Amino acid sequence: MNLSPFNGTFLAASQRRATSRREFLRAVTGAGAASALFSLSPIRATALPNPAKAVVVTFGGGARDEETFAPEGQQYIPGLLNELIPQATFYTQVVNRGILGHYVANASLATGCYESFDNFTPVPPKNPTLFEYYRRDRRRPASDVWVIAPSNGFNRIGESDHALYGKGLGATVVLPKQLLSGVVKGDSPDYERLLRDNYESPGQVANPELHDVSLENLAKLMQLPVSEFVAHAQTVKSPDELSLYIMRHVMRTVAPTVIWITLHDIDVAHAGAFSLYTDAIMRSDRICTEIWKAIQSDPNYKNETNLFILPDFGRDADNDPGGNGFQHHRTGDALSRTTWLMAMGPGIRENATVDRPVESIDLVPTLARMLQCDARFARGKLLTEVL
Amino acid sequence: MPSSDLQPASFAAYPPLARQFAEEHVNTLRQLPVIFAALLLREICEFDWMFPAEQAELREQLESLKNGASALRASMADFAALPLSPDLAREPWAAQPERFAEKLTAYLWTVHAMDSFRTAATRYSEQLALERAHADPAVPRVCIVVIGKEAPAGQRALFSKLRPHGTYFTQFDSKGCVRSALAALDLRARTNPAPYQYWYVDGGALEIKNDEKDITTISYTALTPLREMILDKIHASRTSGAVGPEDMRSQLFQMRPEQFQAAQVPGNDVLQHFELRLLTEGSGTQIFSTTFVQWAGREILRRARPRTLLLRYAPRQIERPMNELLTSSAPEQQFDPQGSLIDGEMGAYYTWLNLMRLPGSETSTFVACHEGGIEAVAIAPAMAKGAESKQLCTLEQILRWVS
Repeated sequence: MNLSPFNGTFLAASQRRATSRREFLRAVTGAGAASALFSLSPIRATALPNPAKAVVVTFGGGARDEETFAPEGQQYIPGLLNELIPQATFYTQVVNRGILGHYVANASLATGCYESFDNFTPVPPKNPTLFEYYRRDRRRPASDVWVIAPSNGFNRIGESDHALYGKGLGATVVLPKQLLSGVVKGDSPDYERLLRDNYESPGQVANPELHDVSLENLAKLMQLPVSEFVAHAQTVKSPDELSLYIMRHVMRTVAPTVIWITLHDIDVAHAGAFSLYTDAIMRSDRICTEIWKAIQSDPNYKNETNLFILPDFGRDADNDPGGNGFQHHRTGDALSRTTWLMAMGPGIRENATVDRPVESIDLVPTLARMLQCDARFARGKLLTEVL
Repeated sequence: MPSSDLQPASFAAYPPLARQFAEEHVNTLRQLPVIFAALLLREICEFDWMFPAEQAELREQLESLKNGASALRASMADFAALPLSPDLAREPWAAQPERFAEKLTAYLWTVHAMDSFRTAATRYSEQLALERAHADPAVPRVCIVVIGKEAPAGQRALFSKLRPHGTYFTQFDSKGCVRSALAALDLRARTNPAPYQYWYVDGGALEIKNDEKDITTISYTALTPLREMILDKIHASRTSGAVGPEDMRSQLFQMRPEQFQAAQVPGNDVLQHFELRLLTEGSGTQIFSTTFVQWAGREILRRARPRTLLLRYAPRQIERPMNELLTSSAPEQQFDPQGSLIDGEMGAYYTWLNLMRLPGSETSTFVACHEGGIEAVAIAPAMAKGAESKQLCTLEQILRWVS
């Protein structure tokens, strides 16, 4: 009896997803298989110098193939498809074998280990994060690594409680919604739309770690006048757009080497309204293209930044009787565990697909190699096709 | 406590019918792995409020499990192999199976055993489905889904996921379609009456009086007082500073109809309990009528196994900040008919998928149509698959063609 998640049924299902994405991508973009390309042109022989910077975009609300790269999903991702994929190496089969909760899954992405803590409690990861590896090995200050996260539940993602790393070595974490609620003091209905939490967000569980003083310090660190922030907040429509604004501002004023941004609007799917879920996917698609444009138009980042985009995991399949389709990610079926990753930047092959199965925890060792630090406790393997 | 130590006293706190049922089957329960026995007891706890089809099925399941040589019993090995921490093993799992199930879920995720659980559950479900395959309904099922009220026609092509399975009508005359659907439901209910076999769920107000004894009705509008009481409790929990999503889910599950007597739609205990479950177990059912209708359809098909089901979607409220949505005293609602059309289209597809999971699916009829629009789709043995019809037609005609 094989009870492994990688039993025959699971693998077959994952591979069907991968095949579907690959064929679709080839049909639309003419993308080639990276493995075949490499046999003609060994990537290491032509390797460019490692770029100096890295930007990681995660979708902290899982998105399924059906609403992204499958034929019926293409209508929701014109930016990823037409603008980014032609410039990217695309991994068609990225499996998340961990807990399918957004905070714990994003923490796992950041540590390169499957974290096992309660998804709904504000606790730090057990294993060192990429941010800690980078800062310690490269002797960089906190201002060189920024995490822009969607909600209070993510406030501990920047720093582990690992005995050899942890305190004082983490990233600067900014929670735009918390920043906004701090400066408008929660009494302005004009900003309510930006302060919304997801249906399954941790609500308003008390969080003694964060307080007004740290928010003020954060604003100073970003060189972000409160009046400017509040004025801009009136012009955006969603929490993710507010995160994008913060990210652009940080790029301009601080220019950190590592930026990690988690988009979360998609998780409105838990409320069960398909139209709101697909609206959020389209918004995320637009934000991803705007992030790439921001990178390419900023002299501090242009041509020296690698961009990685990946959902933390998928959502339940329509045909799984244990779930309710797109609404949740509770079954642990192949579709909810399997997703994709795209990487782009100098030295990363354009318009290529990689079909071999990889895992979401492979991101950290790969980024660490690019950033010239040692992710020695990470369990993932290198994504060699982009190194 | 091992299963073999189960005693009738373990069920002392259960509702009366559930207690009696558990006591009758205690010998069978003693032979099952702890994890499976606890999950089964969680279902048994609800016995007093189950529909007749559910009660009959639970009895059959226990009879099959009683037979040590049955395939269902063989599948118990998968559950016995699942890890169980000493702490969990010490839990009063028989007396409080729901609480145990919550802790078990968290534990299985933590020790990365959810995939093993999923494998075990899938095998068991498949075996159960095989044993049920012979239980075709006496009357072929009919399911009608009416979507898109107040959404203009022609904004987008509908039913793309359903079209390959049936005939797609592009010249559908939707005038009077709700009346036709109700007439079909009424005729079937009068021809072969049976309790909880004929359902009408409306995302707004009912189009008929809810005193039709042969038809079970649920109206989202009529449930407004109950929804508001539940929303108040959710809001109080969320703003208490001490309750996360999982705790809130537990609190919702523990709610009982007697806590909401003033707000309940008049009816019997079973229906009131079911309505409360729709609003406390379904995510988003408290705030979006489209989510409510889809979830109600899923649960009616899964639990009541009806002969006829009519679901009618109404416009849901627009998206607003979650804190505002979860407050009963929020500003006056605005509606989103176009978004609701998209929600209803996906909901119709999910309803068809759920219909196909029931015994007798090959003889079932499914029709979905756009109220106020020009599109419909019909999936039935008599209808061609993947076909498109430009013939001008009404719902009444389509229902005649599929019968």
